[in-house]
Amino acid sequence: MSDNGHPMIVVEGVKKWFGDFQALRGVTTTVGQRDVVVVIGPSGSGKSTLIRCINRLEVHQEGRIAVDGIELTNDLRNIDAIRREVGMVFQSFNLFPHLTVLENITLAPIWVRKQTRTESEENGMQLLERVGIPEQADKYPGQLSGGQQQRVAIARSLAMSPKVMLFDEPTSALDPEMIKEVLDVMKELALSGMTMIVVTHEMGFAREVADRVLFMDYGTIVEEGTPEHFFTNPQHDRTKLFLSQIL
Amino acid sequence: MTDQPQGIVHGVIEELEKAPDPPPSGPWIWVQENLLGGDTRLTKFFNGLLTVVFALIAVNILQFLTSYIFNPERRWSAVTFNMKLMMVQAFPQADLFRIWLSIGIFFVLVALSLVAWGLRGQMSLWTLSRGLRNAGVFLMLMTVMHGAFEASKILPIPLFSIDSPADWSGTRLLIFVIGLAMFAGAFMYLRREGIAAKDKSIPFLSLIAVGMGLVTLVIWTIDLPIPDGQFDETLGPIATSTTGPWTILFAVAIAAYFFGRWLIGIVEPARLRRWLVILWLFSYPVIIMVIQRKPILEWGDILAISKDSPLGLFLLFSVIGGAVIWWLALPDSLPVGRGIAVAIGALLILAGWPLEFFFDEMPALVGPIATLAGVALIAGGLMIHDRVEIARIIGSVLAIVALLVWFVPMPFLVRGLFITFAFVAVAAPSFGGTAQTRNNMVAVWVAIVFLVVATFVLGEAETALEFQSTTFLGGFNLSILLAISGVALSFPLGVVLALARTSSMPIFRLLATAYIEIVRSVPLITWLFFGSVMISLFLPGGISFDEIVRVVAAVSIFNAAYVAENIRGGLQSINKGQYEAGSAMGLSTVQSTALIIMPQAIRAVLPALVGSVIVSFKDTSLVAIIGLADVLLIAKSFVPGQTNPHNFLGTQPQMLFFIAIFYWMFTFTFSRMALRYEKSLGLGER
Repeated sequence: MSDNGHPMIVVEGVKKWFGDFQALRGVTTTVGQRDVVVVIGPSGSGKSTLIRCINRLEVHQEGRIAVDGIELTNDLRNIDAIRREVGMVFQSFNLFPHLTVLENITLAPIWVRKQTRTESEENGMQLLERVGIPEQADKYPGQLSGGQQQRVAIARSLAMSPKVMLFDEPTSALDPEMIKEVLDVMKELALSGMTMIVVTHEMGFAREVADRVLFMDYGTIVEEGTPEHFFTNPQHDRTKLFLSQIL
Repeated sequence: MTDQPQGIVHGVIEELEKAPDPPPSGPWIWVQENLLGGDTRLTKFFNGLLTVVFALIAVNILQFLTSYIFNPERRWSAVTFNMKLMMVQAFPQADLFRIWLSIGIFFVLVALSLVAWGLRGQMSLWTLSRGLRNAGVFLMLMTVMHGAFEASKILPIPLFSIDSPADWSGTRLLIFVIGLAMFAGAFMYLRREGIAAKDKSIPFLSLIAVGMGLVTLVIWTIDLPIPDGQFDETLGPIATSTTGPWTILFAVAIAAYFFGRWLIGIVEPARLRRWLVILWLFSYPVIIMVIQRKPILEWGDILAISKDSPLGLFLLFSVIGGAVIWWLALPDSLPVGRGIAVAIGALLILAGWPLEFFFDEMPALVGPIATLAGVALIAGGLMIHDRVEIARIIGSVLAIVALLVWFVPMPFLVRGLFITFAFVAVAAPSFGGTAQTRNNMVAVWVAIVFLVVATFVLGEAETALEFQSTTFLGGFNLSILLAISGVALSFPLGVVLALARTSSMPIFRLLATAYIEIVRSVPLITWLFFGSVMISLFLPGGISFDEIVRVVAAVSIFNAAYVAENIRGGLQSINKGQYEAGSAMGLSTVQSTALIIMPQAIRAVLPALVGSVIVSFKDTSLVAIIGLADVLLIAKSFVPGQTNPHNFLGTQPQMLFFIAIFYWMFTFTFSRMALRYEKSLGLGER
């Protein structure tokens, strides 16, 4: 499952509380290199919390998380190292509205990776071509459509050449007509061998691209398996109920 | 009929249709819609009545103004004759070229900036000619109405004066003719072009050039009132000592513009902009401290090579500080970093470096502080493995040491340098990295040290100007100094306070909140008195400042509280996702704040910040209360108090009238420019 002997992401018994509310009740899973894992489940099931714990946007209280062999602890050094390896795409894009598309993409390479401006701009233009919107480089995010913004957000994450990409409901804020253009970029990314964890409600994407599907509810992984297993032969009652409601 | 389809295909409409004709327009329809608004006949009647009543009130106010301005009893010679006094007060006549030189530098920088940032604005001829037409009508009305107010004193009849134009004064006739020309020209143009004028436009730059040309023409031709004997005034030309420099300055500005056009052909615009920013930053201290103050510099003392001469301090801080900053900004060199951290720590413990260097007698507090800092450095160097993190920690420790140095009795300049060093040391690890940024950072540091040392040296030096006043600054010159310094100093302080108030660390929150709430709750005048009388009591022994410096400090301290609150509002408007996106990409908190959060926060509250700049500009006039001769005090007391050689007793009302218009001109221009800038940023659109 792995090129150099260890899985890309290890999550073991991770628990997380928001005040008294327990959002994660001991989640355990591993993601191998080049794996594409799709996480599905009803809202409030802890899907987003789980992937936000992986790059420390949320702090888990119990259990362990390791990314590419780096243990996620309170040590600032490890958090920085992991964030440099893990890219994240948000539901609401979170582009920087005061910077142009290209500046959005080159910001982190310049200030975190310490690349020169020319180097990072060349790289940024290549990424914009990869997501199909090089002509928008000098526009501001507010001038783009939702689908284009999300593609810029993907390019922005890729600019840090991460080993893992996390997608937190990347198409939920989009008009139906724009969902496809974003999913196409994600498919291309998956085919290129990127390790990905995708929280989504796009069952078509899950069926077509995922190596593995996790179904979460009540802060736990209720069921996991290949897409065929999921969409043809789900076992747990909760899974069946959920799939019957959304398909 | 089972094959009947369930849906109906409507297809697509291909051809574009013309938009419906705009609704009919015309003066009568405009009157109906705007002045007689309302749905029923009754509301139309009352609305129409209200329109008439308020129009009469407006006319009456205008009548009052015109009859006030044009009344032969008004002695405008008090304004025109004392212009130099109001602008620069006691600035010696022989050195007046220094003032002109300052304005010239300002003009050149403005012209170059217009090129570098590209003022691309256009004004449509439609807007322009309508503006001219209305202004023309206004001017004509003003002259025609003149005198009516005195004639009746009863609201508002007769509307117009009954005197024949043959009796009009020359100025009044001239204004009427100008108004008529403006009206007629614009009216004819609009008649001829009609709505097509909306599509034609001229650049703002040409407008500005035309405006400057007109001003030049006017100052060479027009006669202004000058005092004649005791109570009369006559008309005379403006002195060539004024018209000459202005004409030259306008020419210089235009020449500078074309020079900039040529420059931008051979220099990259971004580079030009960077240099201009630096020039702007330097122009201000240079203008105030070198050009206008004419300092006597004791080069022998300054250039002496010793540990406390200005040159010595400059070399010491720029070399040692520069080396430390260069090291702090290095990317990765792990073992070296640890080694140096431990070495510096050991040095601190052993010698109490660098404080011992400056004093023969070391104060009690220094030893423990140095030891603590040294221990922290050694511990950090040994325990932490990441170089950037060590750099951050060392930067912070150095910053803390540098801040604590404030409490050690030693020359003020050294304290200032240490404080400056604290800020740069903290920023260095976050914004360093590539060789280029590292070199830039060292260059910036050397420039800052130079600036601090130079400011101090220039501030200490005696002035060679000979003037009969407590300070060489006075009049509008002083107001400008107070306004710019107040804004320039309060802005960074306000940003720091806003960040501190929203910080997660309780001590910063507490201090910032206390500062803001205390400063805001006390009137500015109190702070001015405080600055003028009491600030010395709170400073370390042996340090005292010029009164103007103390007032600038008081104004900045006061404004900073308002700036901080405005920016805090902006910070609160930033979506949490922006922070998350920053940290998800690996940006540190300092980087996210400086690169993502703060620019957005400031843009969000730009209108409020512009408002506070305008308020602080106007509030500089409060220094009149503590006896500084700003333009208001001169206009209100000095000029009306003159009896010799010319008698200006009783001219206070027209002086105040002039001051009001004068302030209005500046603040209105500024607020319009800010509005344009906001639009160019696309505020509210992105």
